[in-house]
Amino acid sequence: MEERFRSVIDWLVKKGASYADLRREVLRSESIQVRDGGLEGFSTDLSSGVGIRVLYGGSWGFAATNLCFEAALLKAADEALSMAKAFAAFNSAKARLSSAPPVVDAFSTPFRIDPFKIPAEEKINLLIEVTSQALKKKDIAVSEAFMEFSRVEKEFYSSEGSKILQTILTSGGGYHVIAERGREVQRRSFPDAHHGLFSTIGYELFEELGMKTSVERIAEEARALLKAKECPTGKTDIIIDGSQMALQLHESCGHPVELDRVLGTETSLAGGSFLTLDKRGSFRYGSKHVNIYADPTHTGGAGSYKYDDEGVRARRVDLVKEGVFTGYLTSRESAVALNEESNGSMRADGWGALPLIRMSNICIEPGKPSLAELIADTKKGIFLSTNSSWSIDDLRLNFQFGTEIAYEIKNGKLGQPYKNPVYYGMTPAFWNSCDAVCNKNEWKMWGLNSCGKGEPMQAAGVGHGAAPGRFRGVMVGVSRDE
Amino acid sequence: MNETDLKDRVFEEARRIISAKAADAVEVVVSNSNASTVRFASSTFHQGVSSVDSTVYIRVISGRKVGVASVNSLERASLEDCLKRAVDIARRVKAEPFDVALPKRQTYPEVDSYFETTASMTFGEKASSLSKGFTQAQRSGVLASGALSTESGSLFVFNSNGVEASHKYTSAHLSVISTKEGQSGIKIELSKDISGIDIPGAMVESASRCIEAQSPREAAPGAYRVLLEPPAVAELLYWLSYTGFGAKNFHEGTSFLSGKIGEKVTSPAVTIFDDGADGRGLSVPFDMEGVAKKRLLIIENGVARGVAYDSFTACAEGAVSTGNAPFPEETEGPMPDHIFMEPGDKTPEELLEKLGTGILVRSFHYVNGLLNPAESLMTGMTRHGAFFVEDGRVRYPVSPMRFTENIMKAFERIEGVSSATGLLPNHGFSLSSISAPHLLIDGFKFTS
Repeated sequence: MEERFRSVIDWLVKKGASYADLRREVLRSESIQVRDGGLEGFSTDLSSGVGIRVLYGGSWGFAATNLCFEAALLKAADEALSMAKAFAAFNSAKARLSSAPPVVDAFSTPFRIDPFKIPAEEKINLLIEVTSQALKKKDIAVSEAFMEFSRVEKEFYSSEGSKILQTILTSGGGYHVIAERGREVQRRSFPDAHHGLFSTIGYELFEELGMKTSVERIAEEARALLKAKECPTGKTDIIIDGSQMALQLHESCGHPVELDRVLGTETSLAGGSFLTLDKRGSFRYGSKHVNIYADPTHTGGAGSYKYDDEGVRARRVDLVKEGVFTGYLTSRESAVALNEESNGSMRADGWGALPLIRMSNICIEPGKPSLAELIADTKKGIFLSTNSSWSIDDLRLNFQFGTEIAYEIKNGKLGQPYKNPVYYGMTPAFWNSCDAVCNKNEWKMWGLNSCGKGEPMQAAGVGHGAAPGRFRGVMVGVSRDE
Repeated sequence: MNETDLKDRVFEEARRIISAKAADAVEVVVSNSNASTVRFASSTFHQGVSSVDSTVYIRVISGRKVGVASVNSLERASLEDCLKRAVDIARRVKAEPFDVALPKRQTYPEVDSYFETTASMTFGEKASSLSKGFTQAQRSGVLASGALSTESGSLFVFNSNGVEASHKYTSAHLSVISTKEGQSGIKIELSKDISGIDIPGAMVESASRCIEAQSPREAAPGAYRVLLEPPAVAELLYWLSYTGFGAKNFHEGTSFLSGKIGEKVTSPAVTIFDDGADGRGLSVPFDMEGVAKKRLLIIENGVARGVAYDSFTACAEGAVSTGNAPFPEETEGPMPDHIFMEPGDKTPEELLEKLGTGILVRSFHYVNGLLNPAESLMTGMTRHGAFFVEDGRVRYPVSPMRFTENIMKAFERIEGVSSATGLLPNHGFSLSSISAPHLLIDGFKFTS
């Protein structure tokens, strides 16, 4: 196969391409859903194909095919070349690539237990047990749980001589319950509400996740919400839990540091970024407690890898240091605007997709206090847990996030629960109001598998290392229609 | 492989799989797609994607046990492996608590949704047409960003009850965002036939809207009378559909329609239905189980009438499939794919006059309908132009504002619906769409 791929790249170079790469992916996935103690769905998928990217006359072309025989590959290569030529005929701006050393390497994300070797019955039984246990609770009307596993095997070849083999194994899962009484309906999810938690490890994820041990608490919290008061409105101090901190990092830091957004190439769909080029190194993004970085080399994150889909070695990048905005996520093309080399942030959603700048694992450095100490140190405020809704403007400034549950904080202690909580603000003002991030014992790698970007829409796995944090004087509670 | 050869191959393989009688019932769904997208930013072509794929889904039913597997290959060995995986799953899983049955053979509505003009347009032709638009947009001092996507493909559904359905389609979607000095204007076109889309014209309209949006002023948060244009309405309809128009949400109690069938839920001005056979949308004759598409009334003159079912949710809930089955691996359940909001009798200009004083909203950005789905509570931002209107005349643009609103309650306050509608994408698969009018609503809440 390698010889066939190499010959396609050579053909493109002979036709005048200044650069070409070819990526073959074989994706095996498995998905299990259980509802109310019964199996709702079990499916497996096998998808394979080849994506060919070419730079000709300073313009890009990309074509993909599910067929791997030589004629089909050459047809796709010709399609990519035709596209690039069509664009080059009209483009005055010419794309250039920052340098990247050719790489020959192989890498697999480490894991202990291969989820594809675990009998289906064992996986299903765990989910059945979790949902059945939840349904025993009064008022719990619905309980759903799921697991998903994927193994993607990638081969990457470039006209610069790279040959990289990578295997990324991902496991994910979670559950939610719905409590109902009359027309009051409330939902609680575990470990978060964004379709569970994903990680580039094996089935050991389910040994660590604590699905069974958490059911009692989650179901009780859902029941408690049925008679809880609405979250009050007004300005107050808030503490957000780790899962909500993960979402806050994702929306208000991860996306705005994507350099393609900054340079305007995502304007048509998702929008731009308030973190313009002039702000790097000087803009006060947050308080001194705010240290945020991207690290695809972190083991087990949902966005972990050794090489990106341009063949660039992944590395840690400081995004915000002691509150000052310091770095972007870049590609080989966009890094030219910074006169730098790419930091390896390009990923594609499968063989049929073009690589885009994507978040890897966007993490906040832990601080000093424990969560208990932070709550004890808060005279009046609200503790919010488990993201349920998210909305932010096209420059990533004006945000409003909702969580499934909140608790009153009164004289340093957690009090009554509140339902339908939301908080809102403007990104820099919000992060500048942060006066504490909890310590490493509270820090956890959260992970989602559904970060959307691009046209056609692509989904990416993204990790977020996060701990709870406190923010002073934040607007809360506008969710209820009066 | 040409289209005829491909169809013959699909029929041969599907019939072979079904005749193997590997289970009590077998279903084969095949999706072939040839898709391309041209993306442009700052009036430059910066990305393009061309992709060819064929995916085969096999669902088998043994008693009450169900197994689903898929593979993106029509090679016989791959299909045999796929069938084996589906059978293996069905052997090992627990039985459903209800009888499951696949649809019977049926007749389908005539739907014309393939246009050679869309299927055969080359990258050179697309780039040429778009670049003419760039030039015209630049005369207005704006830069154009956006995407032109086309797809040609075919869908097939076969099952052991005798269903043999096939459909050939095309779609074209143009989205143009013009930008200047931080402001933007948008124009969206969606059609089965790309020759029906005036690409340079869309660029000019988008540019004109961008110029109108220059130098916005701040507007204070509060409740305003609003006139929502079709892209803004379509975004709300999408979220209503996602959170409330499907059987799964309805029966688990999280839909704002749960327990309210037959009750008044909005203004009588509101009629919402789903109809994949209606040629005004991106029509398809059958769903992904081979059930014929037909009109599903969801809200009729303000009264809740029904929600979308596939065969499985119908079996589980003792209902009848409404022809809204998704692909077999989808887990979110059936939802409307071809949503229509019935138009009214007013022109947009008449509605603007009736608005009096309020806000004209071109489109919304990043709407989220998960704040409290049971109450249809949503939030989102205005984008690509919002305008303060006084005495029925647009006075000046306003900066982006965030709304937080119970949409069903807002729909109780509808004071006017336009006769003109826009066809917008439905965030779903490429053959889904939303037909939305302009809506005049009183007391729409902007919260920041």
